[in-house]
Amino acid sequence: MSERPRHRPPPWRQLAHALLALAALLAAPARADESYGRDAVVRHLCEAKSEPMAQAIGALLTAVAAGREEAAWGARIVAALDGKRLLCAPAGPRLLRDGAVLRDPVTGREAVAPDRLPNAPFVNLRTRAWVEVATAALALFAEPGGAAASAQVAVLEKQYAIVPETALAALVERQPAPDLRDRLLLVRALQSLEAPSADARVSAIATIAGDPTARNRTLLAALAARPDYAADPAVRAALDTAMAHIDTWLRVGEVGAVLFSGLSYASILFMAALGLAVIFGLMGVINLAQGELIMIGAYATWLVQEALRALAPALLDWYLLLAVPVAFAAAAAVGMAMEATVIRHLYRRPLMTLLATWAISLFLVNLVQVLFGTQNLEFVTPAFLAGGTRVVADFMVTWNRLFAIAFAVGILALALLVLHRTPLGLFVRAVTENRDMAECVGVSTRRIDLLSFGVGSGLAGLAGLALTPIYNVNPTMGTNFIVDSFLVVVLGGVGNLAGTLIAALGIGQINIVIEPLYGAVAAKVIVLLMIILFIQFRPEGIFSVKGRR
Amino acid sequence: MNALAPTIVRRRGFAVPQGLAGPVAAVLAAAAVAVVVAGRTDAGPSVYLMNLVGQAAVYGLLAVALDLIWGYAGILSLGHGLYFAIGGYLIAMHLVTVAFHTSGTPPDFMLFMGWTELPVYYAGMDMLGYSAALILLLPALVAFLFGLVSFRSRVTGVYFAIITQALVYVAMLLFFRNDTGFGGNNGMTGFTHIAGQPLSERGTVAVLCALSLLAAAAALFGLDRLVRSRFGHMLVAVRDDEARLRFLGYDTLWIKLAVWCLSAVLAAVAGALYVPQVGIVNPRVLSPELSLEIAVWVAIGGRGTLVGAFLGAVVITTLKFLLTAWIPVLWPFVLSALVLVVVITLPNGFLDAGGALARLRRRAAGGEGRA
Amino acid sequence: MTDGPALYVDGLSVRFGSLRAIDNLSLLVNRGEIRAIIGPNGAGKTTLLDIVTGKTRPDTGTVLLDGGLDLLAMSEPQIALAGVGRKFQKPSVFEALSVRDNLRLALRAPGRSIFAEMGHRLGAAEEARAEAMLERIGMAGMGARRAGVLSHGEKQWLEIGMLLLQEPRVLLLDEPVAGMSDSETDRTAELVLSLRAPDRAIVVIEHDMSFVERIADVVTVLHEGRTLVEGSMARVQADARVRDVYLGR
Repeated sequence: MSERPRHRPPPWRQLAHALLALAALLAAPARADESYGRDAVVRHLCEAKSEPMAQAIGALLTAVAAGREEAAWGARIVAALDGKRLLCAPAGPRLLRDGAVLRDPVTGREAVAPDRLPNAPFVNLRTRAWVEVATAALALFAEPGGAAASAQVAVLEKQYAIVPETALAALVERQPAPDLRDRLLLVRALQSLEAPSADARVSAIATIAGDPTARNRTLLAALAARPDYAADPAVRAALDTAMAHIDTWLRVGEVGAVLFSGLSYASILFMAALGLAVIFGLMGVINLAQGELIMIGAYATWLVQEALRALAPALLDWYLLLAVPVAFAAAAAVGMAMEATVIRHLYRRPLMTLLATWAISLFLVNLVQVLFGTQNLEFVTPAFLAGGTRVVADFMVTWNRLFAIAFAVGILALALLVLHRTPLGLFVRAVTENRDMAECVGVSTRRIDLLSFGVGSGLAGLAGLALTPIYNVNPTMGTNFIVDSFLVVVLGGVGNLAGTLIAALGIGQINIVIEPLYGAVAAKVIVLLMIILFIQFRPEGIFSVKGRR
Repeated sequence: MNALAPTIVRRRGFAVPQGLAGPVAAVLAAAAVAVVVAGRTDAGPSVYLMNLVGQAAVYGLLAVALDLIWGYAGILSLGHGLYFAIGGYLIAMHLVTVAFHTSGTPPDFMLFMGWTELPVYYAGMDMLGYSAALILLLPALVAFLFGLVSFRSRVTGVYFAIITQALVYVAMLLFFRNDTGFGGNNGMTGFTHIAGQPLSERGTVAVLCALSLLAAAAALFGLDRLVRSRFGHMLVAVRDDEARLRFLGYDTLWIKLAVWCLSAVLAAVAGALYVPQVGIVNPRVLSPELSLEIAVWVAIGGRGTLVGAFLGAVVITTLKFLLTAWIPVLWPFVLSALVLVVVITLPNGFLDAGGALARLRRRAAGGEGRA
Repeated sequence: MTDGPALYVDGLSVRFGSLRAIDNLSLLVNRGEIRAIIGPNGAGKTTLLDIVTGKTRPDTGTVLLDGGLDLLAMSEPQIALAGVGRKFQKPSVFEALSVRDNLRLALRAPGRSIFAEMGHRLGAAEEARAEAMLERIGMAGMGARRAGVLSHGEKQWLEIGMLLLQEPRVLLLDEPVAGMSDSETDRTAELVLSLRAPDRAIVVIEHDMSFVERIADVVTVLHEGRTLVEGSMARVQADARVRDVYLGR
């Protein structure tokens, strides 16, 4: 299986030899083609000890790889062992319980139940690894491009040390998907690390460096600490290069992960603050209940989910998309009701609107508490938002955060469209610029105020929808976003999208970047101090237009 | 008009009854004397009641402090809990140090953090005089720095209000941390003595209550004179038309800073009187809700009338106390309804209910419409 | 300090975004003169006053008081204390204060620091000055009235009265008769004419041509941030360019 050393090995190599011998022993059944038999496999599995089990599974997988055994049979036996349905008496009989029926594990024929049923062998922690490897490998043999193939490959990656070599080679060959094939090749490389030849090791190290993850970094570091690896200069150099390479990419990945997480937070902030900024620009009113409008959007989303669960379970997976109009309408309706009943009376007293909108937020929080309770709501994660994809190193782009980002981009596009391409947008910009003048030229500012308040509130509702896959949803969730949203408005200036966007990105990113370094509280403190400093130079926000006041 | 500068809160009616501050201050001072006398005997109000009265007086003082800047100078702070907390935490540091030095039992937060000594900034806190000086100086310093950066860059109105709110929110997060030496989430408690007197004794409770009443009386009396002085006119001028005042040659930065710092110090004094009476301080005094509630007291009682703000605080906190004991779930609904009704129908607070009625009657009679 | 013109403006430019509000403007106002500045909306009239009083900072240019004092280096209150008084377009008085208290606030002594002013109690001489001003602006007997309830014209006069108590050497009036009735306009014209003093320059921004004709010694026409014509009212009225600008060609 590997070339012999040409000279007498130094003492440390003897350890490697011992390992090699063990590997040869494990792989022994693979060579002894003739000795393979289902009976022996079942017998060894029944012992439920590492060594015989290794032998049995090695033989089984090799036979399957060579086409001498059906993957289905092996899968059935291993599953039975795992599910405590393989019953073994020390001297036979061995039986497979298949529902109410007992069968002979080798032939699959129905068997007669003995007086006393034998016990199922106990799969302990160590032998469980073998069961996992066998299950995953057999499933891959049966269906290399199956839906769960990636998860099965992941099992082999985790347990790379005990995957039989011949089986692994066959799996690599049969794997149709290039990315999974690469991952299986990496498993092979991990195994070759133990190869005695320096060349093999160096090439294995290079292959591993091609997949820069924290796990591989730990693995290489462990090797570097071993005397047999440290002694060979070529291997040592390869290790150093590989580790440096992985470190670089890990750092890139970390940066990517932080930026991504910050971007998703910024997206939520942007959606929450956009409505706030538009309303502030229009009426000089800060809506302290904006956080509660976010909460209403989230609760509306939850109600849609529950309604679907009860009425149309088949559509449950699509509740997030179906809830979009509902969340928008619910928050917009509440917002317009607020405007029509309260805020309308307070245009010339902006400070009083702070108190009035706070009273409304107090009312809404307590109303929701009475109606729904104080606990966090449970949300189903739709299949299309579960998981994510690995971009580089350990940087995962998770679909739920990507959803929030994409959603925010959509809202931005929509807002641009409405502001610059519709009559409502024109009126909003006109009233923001000069309310009295707009009124003079016949703009119904009352109606514009009401509509804008509705749209601004609806945007907050959508922010609530977009954050349900990421953050907790409960009656007091609004407070978590409202202060940051204020800061976005203060920093971004009034009534312009670009300012709001940049401020949201800045504050979102700074929060997430500082958090791991100094903690969440320090992040908030630093953001606030930076903003207070910032307004020393630009009191009217980033993109304020200088002009006559 | 540009929405960026919505600072000017013009008030139409000014029919709010004036001249009540003196009599109310006198009543409070008389009550203080009565409480001290009662404290020396077993007759009269219970310890519990005196404690409640003392707390109500402190809330009143806090409301008066906010009314000074909001009602007169037109500067709304939604973060005045910060200065209240500075006073409260400073006196708590003093009381904890005293308890530690006399009993030898370290406060809970030291045990929790595994510290054997108080942090270095507790040095000298066993002296009441030093602590009292800090209670006056530290809030003034904090207010000065914050006011300087805000007023200098002309941050006003709604902007200023939400930045003060953000500040108090961040301070709350900071004080929730355990490693700051201020007790973290649980705050500080376990006070035993103040000025050598056991806090549990009837006489001490009476004196603290009386001090709170006296402080409120002094604030009402003194500030009433202040707002009617030339300086008080400057405050109103800042509120009504700050630009006009600047073009008359007044550097309004310093006027605003002076009243802002004064208000902060009064709030801190309120905090320092409050904490020994309730026996605990924790980061909840820094919650944005408390700071908003102070503004609500003032709005309900009547902005721009010191007595209105004082009574607003006393009435609302008493109502809250009674109602939360009776039907806790109802209080937030009552409070929000109260705020909305007052804000919309009584722009100058309950003390101006008569004026509001008169305006209503005028309007009904076909008089002046909306301004 | 008393050499040179009361107000000297040279090479002044300011842009708001892409708009040139003031474009290389030069202007000279002598003591004892009443100067009217007219021009269509957006000509830069109010912006000019904003710059002179320190509210807006120009991009380039010089503004000197009495030929020596650089106003661009000073803050609004400093400029006011140096002797530049300004009346706003909208009547700006302190509505919650009484008429008398408004006038008292205008008694800001240049020699006192702001802190001294905060603690200052008005002396008998100062109270007398406030009373005399009440008389002069024709509001004797109205001293206790709240400024918020005054009529539009009364507010304008109160504001002018407050400015006069500052004893300004340059008085800037931004549309003092806008929104006034004919009789109020007449009274204001008399008031402005009575303000004329040998050591005081008065600059009036106004649209009302008959009012301008009555009070102004020299008229400057601004257009797009530049001086279009300068001279007597008769000369300005005869100028074809002025008519073009006002009639939009």
